Amino acid sequence: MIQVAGLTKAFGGSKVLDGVSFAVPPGELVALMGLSGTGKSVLLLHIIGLLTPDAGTITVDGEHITELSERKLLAFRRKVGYLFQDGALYDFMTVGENLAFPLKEHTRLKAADIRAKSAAYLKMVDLDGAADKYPSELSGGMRKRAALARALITDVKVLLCDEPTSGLDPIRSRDISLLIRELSKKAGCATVVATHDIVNAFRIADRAFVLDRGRFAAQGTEQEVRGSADPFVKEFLAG
Amino acid sequence: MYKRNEHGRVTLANIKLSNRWQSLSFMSQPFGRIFLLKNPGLIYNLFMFKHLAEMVAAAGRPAIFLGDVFLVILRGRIRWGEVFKEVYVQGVQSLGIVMLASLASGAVLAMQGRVMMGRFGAKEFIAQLVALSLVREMSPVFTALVFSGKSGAGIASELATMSVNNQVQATRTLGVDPVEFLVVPKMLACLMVLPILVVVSGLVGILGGYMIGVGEANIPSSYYIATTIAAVDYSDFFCGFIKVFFFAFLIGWGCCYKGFSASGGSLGVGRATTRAVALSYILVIVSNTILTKVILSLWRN
Ligand SMILES: Nc1ncnc2c1ncn2[C@@H]1O[C@H](COP(=O)(O)OP(=O)(O)OP(=O)(O)O)[C@@H](O)[C@H]1O
Ligand SMILES: [Mg+2]
Repeated sequence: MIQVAGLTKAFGGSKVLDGVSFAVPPGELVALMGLSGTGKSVLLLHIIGLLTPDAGTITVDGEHITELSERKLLAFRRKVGYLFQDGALYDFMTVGENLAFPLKEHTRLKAADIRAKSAAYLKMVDLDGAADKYPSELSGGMRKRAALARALITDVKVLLCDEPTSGLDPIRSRDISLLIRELSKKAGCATVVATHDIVNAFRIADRAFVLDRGRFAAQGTEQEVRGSADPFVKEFLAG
Repeated sequence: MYKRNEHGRVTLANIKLSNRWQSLSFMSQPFGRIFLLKNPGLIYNLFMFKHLAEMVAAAGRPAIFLGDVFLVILRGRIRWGEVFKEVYVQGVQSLGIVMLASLASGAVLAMQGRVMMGRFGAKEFIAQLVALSLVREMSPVFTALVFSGKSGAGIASELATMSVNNQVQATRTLGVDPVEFLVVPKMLACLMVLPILVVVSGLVGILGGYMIGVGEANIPSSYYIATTIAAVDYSDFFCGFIKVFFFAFLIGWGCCYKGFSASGGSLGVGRATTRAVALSYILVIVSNTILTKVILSLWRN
C-alpha cells in the first residue's frame, strides 16, 4: 500500500531524511520510532503529500504522489487518515460536526446518514455523549480519540498517526494505542504510527523502524529490533 | 554626516542608510571611502541588494497567497454558505462600534461646524458640512479603520489560531483546500460587509449631525433635512463609496495573509493579529491618500 524508496529531504542544509526506503502492505501496522527531532513527522508528512521530497519516490495505493498536482493531491488525501499530535479538530465546530465534515465534503450521503455514521464512529472511540460538545470542552485524550474517529470516517486505506500517546498518562496511552490497532486492523489500513513511546510501539506494531540521523538504524519485528547490534538502537531501547 | 566616537573612529551615527543621496555624498568623503572599504557588508547594505531581496521575498508570499485566492474564485469554488456565515459574524462584530463612532463623529463635526461657520455667520451650512464630510471622506475611512480593528483582528486571530494548532494542515489532510474553505469566504465577506457598514455609518453620522444642528444650533428640522438631501449628490456618494471596495480588499487580504501564515504557538497568534491590524491601518491610510488624489483628478466637479 505504501512504498517509499530513497526518500531524501534536507531543511536548510541539514539532511533530515537520507535515502529512506520501506514498504507497508495493507493491514500492517508499523511503528516509526526515534528521538525527538529525527524526522518522524517529516516522514509522515511526505506520505500524505504535505512535504515534497528532494529525492526519492513515494507510492501510495498505486499513485506516485510526488507527481500529483495540488488538486489531485487533495483528492488523493481522501484515502489517507492523518492523526495530528493534538488532534487538530476544528475548534469552531462541535465534535459531531468535526466528524461529519469529511463526509459532507467527499460523500453523497444524506444528512441523516451522516449523523448516523458520525454517531457510530464516536461510539467506536467511546465518546457516545460528546457529539454536541466543542473540542475545548474535552480532555486531551478525548480529543485524540475524536480526531482518530474523524481520520478514519471516510473509510481510508492508509492511517498515519503522529505521536498518538504523547501527553497522556500510561493507562490512556495504552488504551489509545490498542484502539488504533483495533480500528486500523478492522479497516484493513496500512498504518504508520510515529512515536517515542517504546512500550506501546511494541505492544501494537507488527514491525518497527528506528530512525536515526536520516536512516533506519534497525527495522523488523520486536525481536529483531531488540536484537540489533546498532549502538544507537541499544541506547534508545535501554532508555 | 559621520563623526568620531570616543575612540576616534568614524561611526555611522547620523547616516540614514535608506537615503541614497546621503550615502552617495558620504562615499565622496575620504573618510567615507575608507569606512566602506573596511566594511564590505555595509556596501552591500548601501546598495540595498539585501533590502531588495528581502522586499521581493516579502512581497512574493502575499502575492502568491492572493493568487491562490483568485484561483479558487476563478474556478467558481466559492462556498456561499460559509461566506454568509462570515458576513453575519463580521457584521455583528463591527456594527455597534461603527454606529457609535459615526454618531459621535457626525455630532463632533456639527459642533465644530457650528463654531467655524458661526464666524462667517453661516451656521445654516452645518448640514452641508456634516453630510459632505461624512459621505465623501470620513465614513469610508473611519469605518474601514474601525472594521480593521474589530473584524480584521477577528479574522487574523481566528486564522492564526488555526494555523498554529495544525487545523490548516488538518484541512489539507482531509482533502479540502484550506484557502477555499477558510480564506476565500472571509475575504468575500469583507467585500460585502464593509460597504454596508459604510452606508450605515453615513446615515448614522448624519443623524449625529442633525441632533446637534437641530437640538443645539436651532436650525429648523425640515430645513436641515432638506439641505442635507440637496447637498449630497451621486458623485459625492460614489467618490467615497468606490474607495470602500479597495479598503475591504486590502483589509481582507492583509488580515487573512497575516493570520494564515502565522507560526509559533499562542505567541504567534498575538503577533499575527497585532501585525494584521497595524498593516490594515497603514494600507487604508496610504491607499486612501492615493485613491483620493486619483478620484479628485478624474472627477473634478
Ligand atoms: N518545515 C520545516 N522547515 C524547516 N525545518 C523543519 C521543518 N519541519 C521539520 N524541520 C526540521 O526537521 C527535523 C525533524 O523534525 P520532525 O518534526 O520530523 O521531528 P520528529 O521526529 O517528529 O520529532 P518529535 O518527536 O519531537 O515530534 C527537525 O530538526 C526540524 O527542525
Ligand atoms: Mg513529530
